[in-house]
Amino acid sequence: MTAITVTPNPFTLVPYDVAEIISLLEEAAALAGIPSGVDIALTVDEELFAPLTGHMSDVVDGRVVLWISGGNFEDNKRPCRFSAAQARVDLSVMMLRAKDRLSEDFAAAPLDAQLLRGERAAWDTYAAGRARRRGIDVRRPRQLYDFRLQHGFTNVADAAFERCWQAERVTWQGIREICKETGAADRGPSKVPVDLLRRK
Amino acid sequence: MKKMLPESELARDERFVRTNIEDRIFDPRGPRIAQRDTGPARMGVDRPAAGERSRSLMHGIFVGEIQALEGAGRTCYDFDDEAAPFQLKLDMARQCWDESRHCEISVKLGDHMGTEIGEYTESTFLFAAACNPDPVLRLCGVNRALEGLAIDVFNSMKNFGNESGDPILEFCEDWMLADEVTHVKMGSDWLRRLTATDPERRERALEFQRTVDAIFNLGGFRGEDDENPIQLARDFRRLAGFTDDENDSLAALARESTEQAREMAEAATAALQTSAQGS
Amino acid sequence: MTETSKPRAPFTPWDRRELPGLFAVDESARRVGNYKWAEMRLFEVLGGWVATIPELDVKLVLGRHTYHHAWHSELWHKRLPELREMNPERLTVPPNDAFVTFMDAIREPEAPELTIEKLVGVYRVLIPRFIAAYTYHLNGTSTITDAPTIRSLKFALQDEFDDWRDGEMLLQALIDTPEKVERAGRRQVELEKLYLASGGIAGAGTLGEPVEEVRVS
Ligand SMILES: [Fe+2]
Ligand SMILES: [Fe+2]
Repeated sequence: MTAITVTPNPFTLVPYDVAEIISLLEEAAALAGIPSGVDIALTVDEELFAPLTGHMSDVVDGRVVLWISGGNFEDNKRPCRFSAAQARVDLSVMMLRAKDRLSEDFAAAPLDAQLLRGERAAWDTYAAGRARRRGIDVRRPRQLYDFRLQHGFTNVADAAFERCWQAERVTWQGIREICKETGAADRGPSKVPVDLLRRK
Repeated sequence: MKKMLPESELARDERFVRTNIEDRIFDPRGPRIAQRDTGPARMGVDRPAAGERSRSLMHGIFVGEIQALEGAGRTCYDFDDEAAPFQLKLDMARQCWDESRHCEISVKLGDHMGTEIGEYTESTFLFAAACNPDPVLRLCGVNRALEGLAIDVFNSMKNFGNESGDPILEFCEDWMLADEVTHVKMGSDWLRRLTATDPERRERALEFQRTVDAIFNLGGFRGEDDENPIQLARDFRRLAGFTDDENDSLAALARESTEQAREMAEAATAALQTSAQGS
Repeated sequence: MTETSKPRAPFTPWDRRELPGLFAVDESARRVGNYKWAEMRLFEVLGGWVATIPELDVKLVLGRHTYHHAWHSELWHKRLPELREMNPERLTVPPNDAFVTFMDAIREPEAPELTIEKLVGVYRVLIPRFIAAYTYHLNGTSTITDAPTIRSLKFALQDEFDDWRDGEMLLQALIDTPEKVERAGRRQVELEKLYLASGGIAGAGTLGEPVEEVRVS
């Protein structure tokens, strides 16, 4: 049996429903193929609103530990309201990345808080492409722009994006090679901590 | 068709949703976020949610361009030949075409960034500035305050395009910037011509412009510090006919707004702490 | 070596322009004043409509066309003093009251659901008549003495044709039910009757009669 927990429970600043989020988490876990018996803990920062978005997927002691900004779940057209459609997209991408971390392919990957922005953008693209092929309504142009911001607006970067997007299997080593190829690896660590929004 | 169209009657298709200002004012998350470090407000690839923040700003620019188009169009129609001279209307018609192109450019840039029409809510306060029944006040509100803001926004976006190596964004923003400088020049020229013999009316118009400018500075949106997402573009403003004095006083006004926003955040923090201690 | 002293005819063999034209200076100026008045009323209403039109493509096209007609009115404004009218406002008038009634009817629709009515008035009634009036002037006026007017007419006509095509294509895209066909038809008939009563953009004789040919003997 898999234990799924959502924090906070209940939400106090926004009218998000824990039961609804849990059922979306179950759906995303099934889509990503998270083995049963792996516990999942999601923390939602309900203070953050759109467009202050972001999410992280780590595996700690065999548990899937997820963090997401409340802004990711927020309906852009109706502030404070929950958008199941948006949540489904982000939770799928998060869960696919968590599944990657559970495999040997990403055993050497550092925690999300230590990733370079370029590494993260490439990994997200790999997850988003798979989510799309599994029927999730991921928007490619959006992913492409986020990828280009970190890898450059170049033909090399676009070709790398295409490979990440199409791939059914990429390893952590593969992600690092892509960053070398596009030059993202040379950008060095971000001046602004990548987990800044997570820090209160 | 009637003269003077209220902002509530701006025609939109079903994709567009109006911002409900109360949603923001009564949002309990606002004061909490104000006291948190969410990274530099200035656009950059290194800040959190860089892509999403750019998309949201781009959409804001897009709806702003629609309203600028509508505002210029209404100025062609709302006034008779005495209230608004023929040449002024010609300038406004020219602006219609420019703003129409800006809408087209903004839609393409939205596609480029991965956003969709109507993805975010639309605030119509830009058009509200174009509702003034006095053409001189309207011109000051729109062609000096609003178009001046457009100069600042496009310059900030252009710099972001340059820093992020995005040739499409940089190219487009530079072209739009050229048009906006022209629009501010129109505003400055007409203010001078229409109030040449009426200093009292000129002062009222400038006062109205300051009011609109103050709205645009709200919450530290614009200024000259890192905590202002939109940077005051002094050089382009000078090119558009703003004097150094005007730029200085706008900068001072912006600093005031930023300071006020900071004070409000501190007051909110204190209030939260008090209530936390009480509970 | 080029023979610099050899006389050549002032007109090339293929230049068939002729001196006499249909309009004297006064008549040309009168017409140009009417054109300016009508182009002004047109660009004003196109600008005013932009905010009332929910269809994004139509909104943006109207923004562009607003400028075209403003520019035509500016061309006519600048031509008037060259036609001996030192006070251009004096001739910036409608040809008659019936034409004012017609233009008021063109400009009347406001509600967001009336885009078809707005476009039919401009693109199926008014602009085809601008094309006709400008073409008549172009073909009738003296190709030598009134050449500056001809140049402006050609610029304006280029826009009118392009804008007519834009507007007509928008209408064809918007008219997607038999009911809308009827609506568009009704609107066109109403306006055409008003136009007929006015005699035209330049009043009676916009397209010829009863203006008499000016004879240059
Ligand atoms: Fe603009
Ligand atoms: Fe502008």
